[in-house]
Amino acid sequence: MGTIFGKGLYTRKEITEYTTITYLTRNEIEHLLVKFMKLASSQIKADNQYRVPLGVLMEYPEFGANPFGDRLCKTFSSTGDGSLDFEDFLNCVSTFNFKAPMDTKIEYIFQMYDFDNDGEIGDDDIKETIRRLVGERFEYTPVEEICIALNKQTDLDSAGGISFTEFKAACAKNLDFQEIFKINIF
Amino acid sequence: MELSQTRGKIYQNRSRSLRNAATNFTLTSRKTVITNKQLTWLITVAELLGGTSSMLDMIFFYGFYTTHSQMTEKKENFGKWLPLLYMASVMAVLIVSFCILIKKIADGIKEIVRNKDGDVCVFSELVFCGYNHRNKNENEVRFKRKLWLHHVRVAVKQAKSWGRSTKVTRKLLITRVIVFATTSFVIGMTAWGIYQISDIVYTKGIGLGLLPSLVVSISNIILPNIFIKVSKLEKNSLEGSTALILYRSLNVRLLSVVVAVIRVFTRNYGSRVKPYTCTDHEDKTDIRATCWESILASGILQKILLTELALKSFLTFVLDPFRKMLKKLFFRIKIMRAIGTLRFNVIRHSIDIINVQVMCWIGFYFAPWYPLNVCVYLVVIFYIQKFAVLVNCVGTPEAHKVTRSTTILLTGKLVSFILVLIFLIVVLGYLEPSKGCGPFATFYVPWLCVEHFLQVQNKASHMFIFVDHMGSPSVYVPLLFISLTILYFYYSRSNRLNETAESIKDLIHMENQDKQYLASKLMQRYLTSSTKKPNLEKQWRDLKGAILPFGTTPGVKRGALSQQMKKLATDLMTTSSTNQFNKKAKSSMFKKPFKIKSWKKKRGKKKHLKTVVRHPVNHELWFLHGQL
Repeated sequence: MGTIFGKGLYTRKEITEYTTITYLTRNEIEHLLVKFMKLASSQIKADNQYRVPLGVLMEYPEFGANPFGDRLCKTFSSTGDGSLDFEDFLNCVSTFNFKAPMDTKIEYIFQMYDFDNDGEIGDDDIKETIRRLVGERFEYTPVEEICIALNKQTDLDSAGGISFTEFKAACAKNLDFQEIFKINIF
Repeated sequence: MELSQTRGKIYQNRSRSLRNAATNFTLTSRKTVITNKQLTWLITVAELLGGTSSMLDMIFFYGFYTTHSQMTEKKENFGKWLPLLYMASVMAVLIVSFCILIKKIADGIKEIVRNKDGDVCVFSELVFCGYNHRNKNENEVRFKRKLWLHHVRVAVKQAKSWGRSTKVTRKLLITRVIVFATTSFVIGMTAWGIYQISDIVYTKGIGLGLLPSLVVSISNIILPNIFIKVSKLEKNSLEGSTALILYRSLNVRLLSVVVAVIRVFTRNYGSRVKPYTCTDHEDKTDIRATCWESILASGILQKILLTELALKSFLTFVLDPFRKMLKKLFFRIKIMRAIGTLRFNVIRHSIDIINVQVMCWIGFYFAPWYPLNVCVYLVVIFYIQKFAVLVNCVGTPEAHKVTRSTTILLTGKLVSFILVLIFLIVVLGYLEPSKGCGPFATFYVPWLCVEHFLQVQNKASHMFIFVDHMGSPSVYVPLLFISLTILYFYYSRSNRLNETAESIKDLIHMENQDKQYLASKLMQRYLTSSTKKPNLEKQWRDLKGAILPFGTTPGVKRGALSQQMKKLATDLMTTSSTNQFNKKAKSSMFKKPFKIKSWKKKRGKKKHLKTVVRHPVNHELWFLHGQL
């Protein structure tokens, strides 16, 4: 069939396969490939499995402006160090697509908020989340009160942290959930 | 007897001739010739605002759609259908508005039910769903952070109010009763004041009839601000205070419009005129104005719209910048700072929209092109408010979650719609239309045109039998009973579901307390044991037989227990390698459950991206289930 963007990159058939295994259309995948290549075009042209490092990924506006950009990269990175190859990148954007089911999104978002990777969202994770949400005004934020109120509402079994089931129950009640966790492709 | 008959005939002739003269005047009147052309526009505007000009015969108003005049044959055929078309258009607008309103409210009912269930996690929404990942702009992110902090502070303040004591609650209740009584008194006084002012204006003829509209507009601007300040004393939740401010302000607006309409209506409609009687009395107080519908539309609806526009423009472009300037010049004085700080209030401006919508519904019958005026008004107001928000106002807007506020506003709109419906039913079904103008001049009441079309009055017709049957108690009593039963069914089911949810929460809580107690006992034995890594399986078996009371171990910090258990779990994993449970546990704990689809390709294996998930493992559960 021939390649799309020069030799060594993805063929038309491969792009079609990506459309079946992700929630993206062909146009969207091609557009994302163009955007991904802008980050490190020469390295990607040389090796299409090239892993773009975290520092370079933060130049992408959806990650750079996002206070949780680095956590997104680390969550979707198959090596866990924050570097993404094109498939990891597609996985990330596909999960944040409006067609992706809520359960898939919630699982990844739980890992994003679990900063210490202990399988539950504890007080430290909540404080780090608030610090990223508020930015420089962290000193003026009533963090302890938020933690107490949040645990009172969400931690049903009073185990000391928010488990995945409790997190899922809390997020599922939000009517705007699908709109909030969405990345625009174009 | 002969004299009375003669007099009766004279009166009949007089009334007939007066009626004809009125009709001819209305249809064929010409403007008086004005010699000074510079005054022409001023006189035209004054006539238009005063509601006495021949412009009331324009296409915008009710009077234009007159059927009984000198017409050609073609127009006569169309004239037969005009009353029905006019009525049908009014009904169509009301039906479509009602359907759209109900649909929007139905979407919001889901949220109301969710709030009422008490399962709304305000803080989890704020913390975990507080950032919108669609933002790309740094400035947008900075603004959203400021807004988020504001939201959180409001939520924390509200959370503190949940733990109020009985004494504080009682004091708050008394305050709320006083505030409610005061605001009701203020609303009543406003309505009385508007009535008196409009009475003075119409009896003494001052102010071009603009004074009532001006008073209405001023009260609609001042009173909502007072209600906002006063509602802070009541210390309600955000939704509660929003709803109260909305309903109080809406009451003021609707009452003021209703009072002004009644005043103009009684003035122009007057007492009911008997057919074929003389209406030309000396004091001329009960002569009905010709084409009172057009006068009502021009007198109230147009004037209110114009005065509101003029007042808002004055406030935005003159008064508010002046206030800002005062604040800049006298920033050291506290009162000046308070006067000069302007905040954009979403609720107050949303009430303006509801008010305009109500006037649109009423005005559509009296002036069919009134919605066009309203559209032009809204476009102009949009740019005025844009200027107000961007230039005059400062600070973050108040924390109103859009979806919740919309439901409250739509409910207010529904209440207004019902009041408008009652008013229109009275106008269409009971009031006598103008004899000199309009499509319903030949009918006793406008609704008769529909009855004639449907032949409802003919007892032999199918429509009469159908309507007669539908209106009988044999239909509406069972329907009412069935509706009440269905309502009761849903009410009791929701109560039962609430109770079930509460009991499940209690069960989960008790289960965890059991777990923590068992775990704490185990930890104590592990820590106090002389040997370094004891056989914990034996200890679990001992504990199983014991009678264990509920409760957590005192002195153990929340979270500390699970951390210790995780450490213990890894220790056990490294030591015991022959245990079957451990093997299983090891395999389930450390294996990442990727579902790799094998692709027979040159480029090797590719991940099945849709199902790549790393399941978070609950260490506690593994440990306890493994040991027990």
